[in-house]
Amino acid sequence: MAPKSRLYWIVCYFILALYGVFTLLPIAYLVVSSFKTQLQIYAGVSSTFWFTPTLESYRFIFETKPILHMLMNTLIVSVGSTVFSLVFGTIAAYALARYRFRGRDDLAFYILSIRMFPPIVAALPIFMIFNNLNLLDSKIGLIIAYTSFNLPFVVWMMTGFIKAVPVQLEEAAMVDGQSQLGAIRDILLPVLRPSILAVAIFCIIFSWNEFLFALILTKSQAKTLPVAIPEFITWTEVGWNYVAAAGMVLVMPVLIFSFLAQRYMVRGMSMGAIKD
Amino acid sequence: MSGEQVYRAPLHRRLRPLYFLSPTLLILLSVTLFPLIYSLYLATHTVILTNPMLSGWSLQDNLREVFLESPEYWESFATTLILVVTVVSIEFVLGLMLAYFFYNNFTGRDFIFPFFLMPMMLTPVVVGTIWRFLFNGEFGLIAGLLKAMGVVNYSILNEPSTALVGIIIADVWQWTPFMLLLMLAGMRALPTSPFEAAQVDGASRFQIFRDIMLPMMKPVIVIAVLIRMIDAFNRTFDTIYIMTNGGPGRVTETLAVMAFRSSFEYFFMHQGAIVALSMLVIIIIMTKVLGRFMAGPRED
Amino acid sequence: MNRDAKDMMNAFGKSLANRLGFVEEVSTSRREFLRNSTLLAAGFAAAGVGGGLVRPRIAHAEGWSLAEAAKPYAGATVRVSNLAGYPHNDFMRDLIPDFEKETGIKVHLDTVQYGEAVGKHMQLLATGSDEYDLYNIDSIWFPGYAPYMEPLTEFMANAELMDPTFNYNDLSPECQKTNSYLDQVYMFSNMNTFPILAYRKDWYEEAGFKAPATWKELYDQAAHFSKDDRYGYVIHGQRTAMMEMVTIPFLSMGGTVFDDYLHPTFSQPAENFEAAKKAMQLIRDIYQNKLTPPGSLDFELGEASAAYSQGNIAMNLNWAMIFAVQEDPKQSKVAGKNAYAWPPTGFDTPAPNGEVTGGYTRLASFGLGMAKSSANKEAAYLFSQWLSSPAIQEKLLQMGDAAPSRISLLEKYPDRYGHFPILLESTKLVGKKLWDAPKIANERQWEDTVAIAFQDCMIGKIGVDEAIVKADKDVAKLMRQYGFYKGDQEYPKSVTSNFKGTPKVELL
Repeated sequence: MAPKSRLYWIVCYFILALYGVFTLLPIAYLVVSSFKTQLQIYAGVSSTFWFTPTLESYRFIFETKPILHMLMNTLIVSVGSTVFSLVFGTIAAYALARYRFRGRDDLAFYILSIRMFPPIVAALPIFMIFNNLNLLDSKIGLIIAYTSFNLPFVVWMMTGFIKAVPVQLEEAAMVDGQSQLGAIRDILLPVLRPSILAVAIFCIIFSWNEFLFALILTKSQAKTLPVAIPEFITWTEVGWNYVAAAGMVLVMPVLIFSFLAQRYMVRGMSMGAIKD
Repeated sequence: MSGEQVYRAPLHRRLRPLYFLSPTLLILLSVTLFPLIYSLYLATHTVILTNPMLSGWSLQDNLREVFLESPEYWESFATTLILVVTVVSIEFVLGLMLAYFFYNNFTGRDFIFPFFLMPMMLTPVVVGTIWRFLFNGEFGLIAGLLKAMGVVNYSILNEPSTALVGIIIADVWQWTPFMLLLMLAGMRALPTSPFEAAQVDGASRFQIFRDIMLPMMKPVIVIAVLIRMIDAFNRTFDTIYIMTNGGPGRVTETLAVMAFRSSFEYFFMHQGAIVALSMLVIIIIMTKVLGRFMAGPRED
Repeated sequence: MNRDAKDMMNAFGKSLANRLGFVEEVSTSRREFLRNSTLLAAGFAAAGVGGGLVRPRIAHAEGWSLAEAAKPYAGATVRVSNLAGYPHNDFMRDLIPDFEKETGIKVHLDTVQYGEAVGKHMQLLATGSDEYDLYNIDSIWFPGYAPYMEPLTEFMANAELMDPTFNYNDLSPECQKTNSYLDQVYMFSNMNTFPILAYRKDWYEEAGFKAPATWKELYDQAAHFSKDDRYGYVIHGQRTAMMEMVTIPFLSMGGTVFDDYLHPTFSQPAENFEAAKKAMQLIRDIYQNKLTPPGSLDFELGEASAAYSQGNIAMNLNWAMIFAVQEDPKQSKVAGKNAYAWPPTGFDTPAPNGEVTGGYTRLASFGLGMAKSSANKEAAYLFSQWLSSPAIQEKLLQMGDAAPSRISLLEKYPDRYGHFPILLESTKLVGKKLWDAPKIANERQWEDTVAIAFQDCMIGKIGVDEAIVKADKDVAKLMRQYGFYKGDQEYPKSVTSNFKGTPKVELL
């Protein structure tokens, strides 16, 4: 498009700067808090960004809790549920995007409605089922639970993306003697790769930070890091510096991953769909 | 499943979508069917964990207790509605505006963009704690700023008139990036030729945005708003719980908090189930209305 | 519907009744059920009747040794769900290897955050999980746990298990009381905590003040100190703490929370209403006149203590165990600068000797409760007994525990912390200082209801009179839902906590 006016850029930069401060200030606050002691936290506004940093909080959290073990659990569960959700969800999305059959829209709505199910309602019954199936405090159990709320998201996003890919591409391949699965594998999937990656990132973020199910379904073996964080807020003290440190440990991997992948995120999304 | 079809294909072809859908449906059914039935059971019986002696059918009593005997449900209903509508609209407008800026090329765009996405990646527990401390009247940064501006010692989350505003700010902070990302993706996916044509015809930038870009983005807008709405309704729980615990009074007690409290703090499982099922019904209605209003996200 | 699912769903209802020993199947509707008075007695038992001081039969076997007693259970694993963040629970970890070595019993500790503990525990217990043998319970919530808990009384009478050196009666009698239930002992107290007034010795000396004897004096002192970024007092205004903020002054002025019929009595009879109005008005004035930090309506006790530890607050009415943090120079700027006193009594005239029948400052005594569903009850008992034994409690105290329940330790270490003399005094003034709150299974809900009314008053949404009446009305509504008012039943004082003998009031 044609170049914008000077006024547009002034307004644009101003709003971006303003919003940038709004976005980054709390994160900066998180970062500095993780390098403080309990006393420095409560020391008042003037010393928010001016203090002697210490690694004490990090030392404390690693000493008192199996942080790495829990981080590993978080990773396994997130990746596991993301992979399952993507595989099954994409196949389902293909069916919804490429076939017309009776009840299709109702089925699509049913799938979406799973996400509408308040997790609070589902939590206790799932706890009971898992208790009976011996899935409590197991990573498999958590993967199944997370898959159940990631699947609707994947199905809905992927249905849009697949629809955006002209069906003629696959038909041409099939006319050339490819099987349907072959056409999907060789034609559709390569085109969809960025979209899949983008959806995967969202799935990972959702599962990485999930709290309620992890709280209810795990105890120690499969405990994920988000559940351990509020344990630093005890009855006797709000260990905000510990919460901040553990929060940093939790967010760093997903942040790095997202920074590396963010180029794909927007590109992936824009491959989609979402075109009329 | 087969039944009459638009076209007649061999049975195994007609069943194929079912094969594709079956793993997903199987997982979703297995994880959700029992919870749904169980919630219905809870909602129609008396189930109080601290007094397991009580049991039996009591739908009418339960409904009366939740909906009629006290205004609490309706207070929470109003709070939730205000929260969801405000949060989703602000996030949508902000997300759209930011996406429009990022749609254009400018120096440093790709460098700063990831920073704008960061809040979305933090776990809600941490988000809640960050804002609780920022808003703290004694040593919080925001209270400090307010003090510097001449408002003496104001604790946002403690005042009934602003506690919900605090929650809204935290939610907008965390989830605007989600909107931004989806909106930007939607914009980048649009073909540029219609805009160029309109510009040649002398349309203003705003007209192009309003009359061409927005309508073209409708499908992505619907999906984004829908998913955000559902999540704001169901999942804002952690943040509220940490920031205000529903207080002061019941000012920030949303339906999700109320359902959690009834079930896991008061152990009136039947009341929790009724509140939660009512939430499900409300969301389904909202979704249907929104879907109709926006002419459906799934037009071919 | 398939049978398994149906069976599972019934888990909450019928089978639980069986597990409790009420073989009779209960399937009538709630309202019908309440009409049945014999069942009411059963429901009432589960809903929670607390006992007074229980005198269990205690076995005494000479030559008993832990190693010998544990022999049949060697190899068992005792699983414990501990509350996170309590110092003695952290110190315990270092001592457990000794127990494991001596007994051959393995101990597995999980921790759960205080705020989530009751919810998570109830889920496990109600679904019959055998995940944990022992649950770390705050006595305040015990009535809700009661239906799922195994009394310790039988084990104490068993000469093969009971440690003759345990000295049960060395535990604070108030803790014994609150950890017993229906004439059974359920937990050995390993934490003994109640709100005590900490105040700045240096400021008080400078101002020539003494610890406040009445609440009016407390207010005036707080007002004196509240200037130049200093505050006189710190309120814990979170919903979980709000009720105590008002009930401590209220009870000390002669109020009661319930009559013998569990009708709430904040607003009636007239004396109670007067006391409640004074107490509510006082706390509200403290908040609205900014004698407390502005954010304090949001404070839990931890934040209140953290604020006090910054050194610009004069008084901190807080639970005993938190003073360990407050006196730790690494975490507090006021370490060594505090004095401790009983909270004041009366509005402008103190109660005689500062003693109030039925008490006024609320007791919480923590311990390990044993699940009925536990498969290793004997091993679990041995662990619980070992943990609360004098030797281990002494080690925990040396490691920094600030809320011991053993009288002998309080006598042996009177100077360990500034508030220890008050803890010791509490063991001698039974029923005069510590308030053993009403025993109602849905503790959290009725307290929340009161707290909401009081918070609404603090923020100026409703007036003082209105808040007190609202608290009564809302509590009455809940009590009716719990089924307490069927048949105009009179309840024991240990349930109602009506030791002052407030006469019956009409329901609002």
